[in-house]
Amino acid sequence: MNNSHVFEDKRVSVLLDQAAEKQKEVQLRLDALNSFKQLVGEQSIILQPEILHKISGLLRDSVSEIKEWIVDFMDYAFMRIGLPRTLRKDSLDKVLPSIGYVINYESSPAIIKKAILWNASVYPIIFERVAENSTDSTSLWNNALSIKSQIMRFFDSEDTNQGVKICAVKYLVVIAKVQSRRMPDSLGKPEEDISLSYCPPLHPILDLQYLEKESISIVNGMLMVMRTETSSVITAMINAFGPLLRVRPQYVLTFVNHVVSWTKIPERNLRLSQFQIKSVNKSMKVQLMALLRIHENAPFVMEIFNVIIALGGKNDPSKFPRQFRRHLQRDTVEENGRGAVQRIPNPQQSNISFDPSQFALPFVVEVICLVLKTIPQERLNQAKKAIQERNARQTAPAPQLEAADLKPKIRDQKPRDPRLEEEEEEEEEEEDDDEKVMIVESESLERVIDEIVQDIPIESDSDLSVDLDNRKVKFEPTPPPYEVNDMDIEDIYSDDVVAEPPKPDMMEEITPTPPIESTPEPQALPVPAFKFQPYALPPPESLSQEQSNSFIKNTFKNILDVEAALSDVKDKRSNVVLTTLSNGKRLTKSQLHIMASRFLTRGLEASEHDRKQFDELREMIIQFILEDFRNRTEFALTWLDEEWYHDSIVLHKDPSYTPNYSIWLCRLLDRIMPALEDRIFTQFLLDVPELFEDAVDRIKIFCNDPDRSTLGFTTLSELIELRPPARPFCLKILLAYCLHRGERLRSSAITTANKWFPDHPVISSEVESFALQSLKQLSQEIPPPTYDYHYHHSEASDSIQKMIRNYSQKIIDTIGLAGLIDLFQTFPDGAEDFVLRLLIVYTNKTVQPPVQLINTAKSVIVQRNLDGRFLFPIIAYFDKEEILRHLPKVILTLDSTEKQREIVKKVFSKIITVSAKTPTPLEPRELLVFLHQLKQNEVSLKHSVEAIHVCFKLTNIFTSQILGAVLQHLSVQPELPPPFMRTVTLSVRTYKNLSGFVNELLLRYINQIWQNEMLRKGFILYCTEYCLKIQPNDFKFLLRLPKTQILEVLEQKDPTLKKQFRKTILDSNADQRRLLPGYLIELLEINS
Amino acid sequence: MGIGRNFAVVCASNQNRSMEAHHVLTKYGFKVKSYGTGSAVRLPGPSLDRPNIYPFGTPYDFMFNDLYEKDVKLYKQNGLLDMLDRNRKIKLAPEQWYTEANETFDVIITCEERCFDAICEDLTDRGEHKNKPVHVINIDIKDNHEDAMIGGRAILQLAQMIDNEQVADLDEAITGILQEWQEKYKYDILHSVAYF
Repeated sequence: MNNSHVFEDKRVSVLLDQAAEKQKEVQLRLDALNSFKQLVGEQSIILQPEILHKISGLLRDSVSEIKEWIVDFMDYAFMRIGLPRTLRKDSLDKVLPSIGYVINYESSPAIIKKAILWNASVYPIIFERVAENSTDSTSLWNNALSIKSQIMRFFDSEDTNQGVKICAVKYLVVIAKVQSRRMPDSLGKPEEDISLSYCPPLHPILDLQYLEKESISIVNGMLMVMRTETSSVITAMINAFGPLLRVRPQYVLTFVNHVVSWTKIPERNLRLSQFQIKSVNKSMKVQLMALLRIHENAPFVMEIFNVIIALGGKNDPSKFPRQFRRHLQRDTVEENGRGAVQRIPNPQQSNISFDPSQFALPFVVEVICLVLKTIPQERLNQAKKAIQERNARQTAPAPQLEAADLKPKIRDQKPRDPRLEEEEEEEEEEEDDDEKVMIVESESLERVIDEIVQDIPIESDSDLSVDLDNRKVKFEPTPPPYEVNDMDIEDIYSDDVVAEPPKPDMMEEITPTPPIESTPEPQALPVPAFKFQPYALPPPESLSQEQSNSFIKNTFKNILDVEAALSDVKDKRSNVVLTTLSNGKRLTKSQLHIMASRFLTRGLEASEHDRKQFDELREMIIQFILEDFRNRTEFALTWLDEEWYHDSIVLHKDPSYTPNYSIWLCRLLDRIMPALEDRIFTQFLLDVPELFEDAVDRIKIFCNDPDRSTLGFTTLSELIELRPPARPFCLKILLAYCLHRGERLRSSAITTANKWFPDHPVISSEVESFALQSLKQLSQEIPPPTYDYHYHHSEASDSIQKMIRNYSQKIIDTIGLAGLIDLFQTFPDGAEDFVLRLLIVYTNKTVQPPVQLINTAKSVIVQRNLDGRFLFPIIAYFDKEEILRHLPKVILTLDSTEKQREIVKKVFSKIITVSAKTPTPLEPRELLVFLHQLKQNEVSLKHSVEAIHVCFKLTNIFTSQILGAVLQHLSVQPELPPPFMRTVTLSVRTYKNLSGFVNELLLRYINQIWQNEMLRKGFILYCTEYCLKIQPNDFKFLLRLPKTQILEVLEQKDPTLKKQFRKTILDSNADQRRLLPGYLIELLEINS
Repeated sequence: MGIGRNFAVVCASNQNRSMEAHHVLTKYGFKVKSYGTGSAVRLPGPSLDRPNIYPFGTPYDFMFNDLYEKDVKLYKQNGLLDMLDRNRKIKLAPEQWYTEANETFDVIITCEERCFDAICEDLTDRGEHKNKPVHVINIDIKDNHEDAMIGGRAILQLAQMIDNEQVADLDEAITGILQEWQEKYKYDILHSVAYF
C-alpha cells in the first residue's frame, strides 16, 4: 500500500512538473494535466492538500488555457468527485491564496467567472472550517474576506462585465445565506444548511452580528441595484434569490417589497426593452408563485399574492393555492395588500419561536403600525398628552407652531422620521417617485375630503357616509402610513451613506463596526410638537356666487386629480384601497368615484339654477374620463348611474326638469366612439343604467365602418340578448341591416340575427316574423305574369329575382324537406313562383326526389289546379299512367317560343330517361304516339304539333327505328291522326333513309289521306318537299301516285314543283318521255 | 459547427417542437438535448377528448407502431406517424426534464411560456448548488407541425448566433443577440439567467 502511494506521488510530480514547464508547448502541458486528471478520475491518485496546493500554484501561470484548466479542475476536485469534506476543508487553506490571486489580478472574464463560482461553492465550507477550528484558520478567513471584498467590488462597479456580475450575484447570495440564521420554517435539511447557527456564539474570528448585518445589507443592496441593472443581471438576481428565500424566509418580505417598487419604476421602460421588462416580470412571477406555494400559511402571503397580481400577465388559477383562487376573480377581491396585512398574527399573542431580530425592517415597522392601530384612541390621546406635558416642562413652549394656527386642512407639519425627510429630498431629484407623489397627494386628498365633508349636504341614505359620517375629522399625528414602507427599506441601506452621494455601492461601506440597523429605534423618533385640544369648527363663511363657483370647481378638480394621482394604472379594481384616511378608514377607488359623482348631482342640487356652471363641471368629468377611458370606465359608470338616479329623484318632484343623464351619455358616447375598437365599448353600453334609442343609434357608426362593423354587430347582439329593455330598438336596428343594400353588412346582420333562431324563446319569433314579412314584401315585388320560370335567361331579371335565385339554395338548406313540403301545402296565393323555384332547386340537387314530396306536389297541383310549370321538376317521377294523364298540362305550356320548347324537351327527355328505370317504362315510341292521340278539346292541334316538333329535337332518343315504328303504329290505327303527315315529313327530313318505307306507307294509305283535308294538304307539302329537297329531281314517288293525286300535287298554288317537273321531263330522253301518261304531257304542255 | 456550447430544447411532450429543433440543431452539428416538461407525453387522438397518452421514456418506435395499428390512415394524415418516424431516428424516447436532465447546459430554449416557468422553477427547486449560470430563453411556438418547423429554423438561427466563435463571452453578448434575432423573427421571447 505504501509502495503504491509513493508510486502515485511520483506520477503526480512528473506530470505536474511537466505541466509547470513554461517553455513547453501549451498543448503538451495540457496533455500532462489531462493525464493527471484521468488518474484522479480513476482514483489511482488520491488528492491530498499538498497536491492541490501544488496544482493551484499553476493559477499564477501566464497561459490562460492553463489557468482556466486549473480553475475547472478545482471545481472538479472540490465539488464533483466526492472528496471527503474534511479533506476539502483542510485543502482550502492551501488553495485559496492562488484563487485570491486570480480574483484580484486576472484579466480574462472567463477565468474570473469560474473562480467566482468556485468561491460560491466553497464559501460554506470555508465558513464551516473557520467556525469549527479557530486556532489555525485566521489566514484562511482573511483570504476569504479579501476575495469577498473583491467580488463585491465587481458587483458594485458599473464597468464590470455582465457575466462576471452574474457570477458575483450567485456568490453574494451564497454569502447572504451562510451569514444569516436558519428559521423554523426554512426549507431543506438543517444539516446541509450552513448558517450562522452553525457557529458558536462567541467566536474569536467570526463576528456573528457583523456577518448577519452584512448579509442583510447584501440582500438590500442587491435588490436596490435592480433599479439600475441590465435585465440579465436582474433576472440572475431573482433566480439566485429563489433558493435563498426558501431557506431564509426572513428575506421574503424585503424581496417582495423591492419587487413592488420595481413595478413602480417608470424609468425602467426607458432603460430596458419590452422583452427585457417582460422577462424580468416573468422571472419575478415565477419565483413569487413558488414562494406563494411554499409559504402558503406565512403571514406575508397576501403581500406575495398582491405583487403577483401587480406584475400583471396571465394568472392561471390552478397554479395558485386554493385559498387565493377566489381572490383572482375580480369581484371577490376584498382588499388590497394594505388590508391583508391584518392577517399577521398579533406577536404578543403568538408564541414566539423565532428570533425577531431576523425580521427585515419594513416588516417590523409594519407590525408596529398595526399594533399601534389596535391601541384604543383614548389611550393614545392620554399618552400623547403625557408626552406633551413632559415636553412643556422640559423645554420652552414650542415656538414653531401655535395650536391656533394649526388648521385641520394643513398637514404639512406632520412629524416624520428625519431620515425620511432627507430621503424625500433625494427622491425629489429623481423626479419620478410614485411614493413621493402618493404622500403629497394623500394630504391634498384629505384636504379635499375635509372640504367636501364640510360643504356638501350628504343624503342620509348615502352609503358614502361610511367614510364621511365622522364629520369632525381631526388630523392627528398618526404612525407613518403604510405606503412609506418602500422608503424604509431603502433606509436600511441609505442609513450608512447619508453623507455619501446616493449611489448603490453599499459593499464599500461595510466596516467591522457597521451602523446598519436591523431593528428600528423608537426612541430616536422626534416627539410631535402639536398641542392637542378639542377643535371647534369656525362659523361658515359666506362666499360670493363667483367665489363659490370657483371654489366648487377647484374642489371638483381636486377630487379628479386625487383619483388620477392615486390610481395605480394597472389596478382597475374599484375596491382597491387608495389611501388610509386620518381617521384610520380606508378610501377605496369606488368611494372616490361616488364622491365625485354625488358632488356633481345631489351635492349641487340646492343651486340647480346655475346649470351652465355645472355643465362645465360635467365637461371636466368627460375630459377626465376621456384621458384614459379604459381605466376610467368604472368611474364613468358610477357617474352615469348617479346622474340617472338623480334625474329620477328630481323628475319625481319636478316633471318639467330636463334630465341630464341622456344628454351626457350621448355626449360621452360621441367623444369616446371615434377611438374605440374593442369590447370595452360593448361592456360599457351593457353596464350603463339605461339605454334609449338615440344612444343606441350611434352603434350604426360602428356597423357602417368596415373596420369596426364586427364590433358594431357584436354590441347590438349583446344588447339584444342581455338588455331586454333595450331589445326592441336594438333589434330594430339589427333587422334593418338585414335588408341593407350592402351585401357585407347585410350578411353580418343576418348572421347575427340568425343565431337566435330557432332556440331563443322571444327573439327568435321576432326575427322570424320580420323575415316572413320581408319575404312577403319581396314576393309582392315579383310580378307573377312576367316571372318566367327561366328568369335567369330573362332579360328583365330584376334584383329581387336575382336575390331569390342566389339564396334559394340557402333557403332550402335552412327549411329542409319537411319545410318544403309544409310550404307546398300552405303557401299563399301569389307565392307560386317562389315555391316553384324552391321545388326546382331542390329536385335539381337530388337524384331521386322523396316520394312524399312528389305526392304532396302532385296533389297540390291537382287541388289548386297549378299550371304545367309545377310538373316540370317532378313529372318524370310519376308512374306511366300518371305521366300520360298530366302530360297535356306540360304540353300546354308550349308557346311557340324556342325557350319553352327547350324546357319541354328537357322534361320529355327526363321522362323517358327516368321512367326507363321503372317497372313500367314510358318508351319514346309510346310518348310520340301519345302526342298524336291527344284529344283536341284538351290540347289544340297546334300544341300537339309543337310537342311533336320537340320530340324531333331529341334526335338521340327518337331514332329512325323508333320513328318508323311510330309511323307504322299510327298508320294501322282506325283513323290516321291529324298531325300524321307532319310527323312523316319531319321523319323523312331527319332520316332520309326512312323515305322508302314511308313512301310505301303513304301510297298504301293515300286514299285515306285524301279523305282528310289536313292530311291531304300535309301530303302535298310532303311530296313537294320530297321531290324538290329530300330527293331532288327524283319524281319516281310522284309518278307512282294515282292520277288525281298527281294532278292535285302538281296543280298546287306554288308552281315551283310543276316547273321543275317539266324541266326534268324535257331534259330526259325520248324513251323516258314516252312512259309518261298522256294527261301529264298535256298538263305540262310538252310537245312530243 | 459551433464552439461546443451545450443546448437543451424543451417543450411539453418532447415530440414536436423540441424534437424539430433537436433535429435541425443536430443536423447542423450543435450539442443539443431535448426534453419535455409535461407530466406525460400527449399526442392527438381520434378526437379532442381522446388523446394518446404515454409515459415519458416510452420509445418513439413503440408509439409509432401503436398508432400505426390503431388507425394508420388518421395518423398518417395528421402527420403523427411522420413525426414519430423522424423522432425515432434521433433518439430512443421522449425525456422528461425533471427526471432525465442531469447535466448542465449553457442555453436552454423553451418553446412555450409554461415550459419556461417550469424550467426556471425547477432550477430553483434543485437548489442551484452547482453554481453554474444558464441562459433560459423562451420562444413561443404554436404546437403544430408547420409552426414547429418554422420555429425550428428560427431556433437554429439563434443557436448559430449564440454558438459562434465570435461570441467568446455569451453573458455579455446575449442581450444584443436576442434583440437582433427578434427583429428578424418577431417571436415573443423571454430571457432569464438562472443557475444550475
